[in-house]
Amino acid sequence: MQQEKITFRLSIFEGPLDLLLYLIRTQEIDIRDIPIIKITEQYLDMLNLMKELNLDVAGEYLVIAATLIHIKSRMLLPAPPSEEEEELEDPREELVQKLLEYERFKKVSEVLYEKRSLEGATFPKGYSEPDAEIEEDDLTIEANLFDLVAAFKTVLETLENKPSFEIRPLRFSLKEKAEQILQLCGRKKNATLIEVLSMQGVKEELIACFLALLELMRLGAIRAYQSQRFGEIVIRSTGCEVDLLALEQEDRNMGVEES
Amino acid sequence: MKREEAKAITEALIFASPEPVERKRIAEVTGMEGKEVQEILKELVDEYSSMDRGLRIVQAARGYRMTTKPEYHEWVSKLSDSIRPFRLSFAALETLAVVAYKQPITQLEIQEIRGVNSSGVLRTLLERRLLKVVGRKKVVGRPLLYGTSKEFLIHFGLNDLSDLPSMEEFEEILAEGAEPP
Repeated sequence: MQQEKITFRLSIFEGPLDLLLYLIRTQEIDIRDIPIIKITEQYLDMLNLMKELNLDVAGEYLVIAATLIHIKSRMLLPAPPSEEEEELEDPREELVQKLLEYERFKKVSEVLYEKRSLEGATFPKGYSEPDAEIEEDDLTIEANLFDLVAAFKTVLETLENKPSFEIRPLRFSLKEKAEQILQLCGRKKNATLIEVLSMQGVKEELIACFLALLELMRLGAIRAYQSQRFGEIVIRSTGCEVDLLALEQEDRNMGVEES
Repeated sequence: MKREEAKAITEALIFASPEPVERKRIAEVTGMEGKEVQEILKELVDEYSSMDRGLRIVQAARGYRMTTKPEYHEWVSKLSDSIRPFRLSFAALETLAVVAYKQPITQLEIQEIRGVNSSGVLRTLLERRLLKVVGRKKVVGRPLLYGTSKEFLIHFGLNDLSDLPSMEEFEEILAEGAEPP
């Protein structure tokens, strides 16, 4: 049977520099002295995880991966013997400058976000929204893809430590997972991401759940929020009616019967 | 023209104008002195903000406009589904941030800074008129140059671009490693 893969394209994606900064800032690493081997490893781990999830890993991610590996190799080479030459440039310097510049603009965009939060609540006469989208909660910021993937990784790791006696390959219905998620954040209104993921049994089920979650976000049926950057992720139903045809189709392609 | 009448007229002009009215324009229409207009505008802004009314007059894009007060947005939004702020993604905010400080700038230069393809988000921002084409760069291929629009200023409640913190101020914040407030 043909097993076509779904590629999830996410608009909340902010790029490879964002991923790198995320790794550096969450671990409180000195940006002027990046432990390049460790960071390269973590960066590649993240890319692999994204690929495993069939996320669309854009070419830009690979460019930065290549840059990291290049820097790593340059740092491993012994310094040339001549002392007369001017101080050798740190191979990390160019990337650090890029990251710092990027971070500056990220800060600016936070300022813009705050200004917009106030202005967005005022309307001139005859105002009409160009295309109605989901209302935003001023008190929360939207979780980005990396926060989601990082949370997913945490649950995945705890799961891998659990003994598993499953031998038969299992397939889980994405549609059923989506319905489960909608029920969870519908009933309690808020469910945390960890909560939802922790309810899943084996790895395949966890992956199905995460994919269903991403698809629901794409469709606008749910949104992920956190009260602060790197904080706990909360899933909220937007109340939008969505049809799960795409997931049903995918289930059929994968040979999953509805139970 | 009496002072009270002049104030009422100024108020009417601000209300009726589809975009922020400049002080100069009010002076032209009413025949008042620029200084007098300025005083009247200040009075109007203060009165609206202190009165228990649902409206406010604010400065935006070097002009004056009238909007509802932010504290009543929930009520206003109940009126119709189409009365709600349009959301901007982080990608869009980031792109606007880059353009605001680096304009005029090409798509390629934006991508260099953001490290990610920006054609889609750029198109959206142009459609929403937050950005505009300001010319072409005199290099091979003559790529388009982008800049922020008047809409951009209005959208973020800025009088002009200098209302944004300067890049030096950001440098300082980052150099200190301080948390943003």
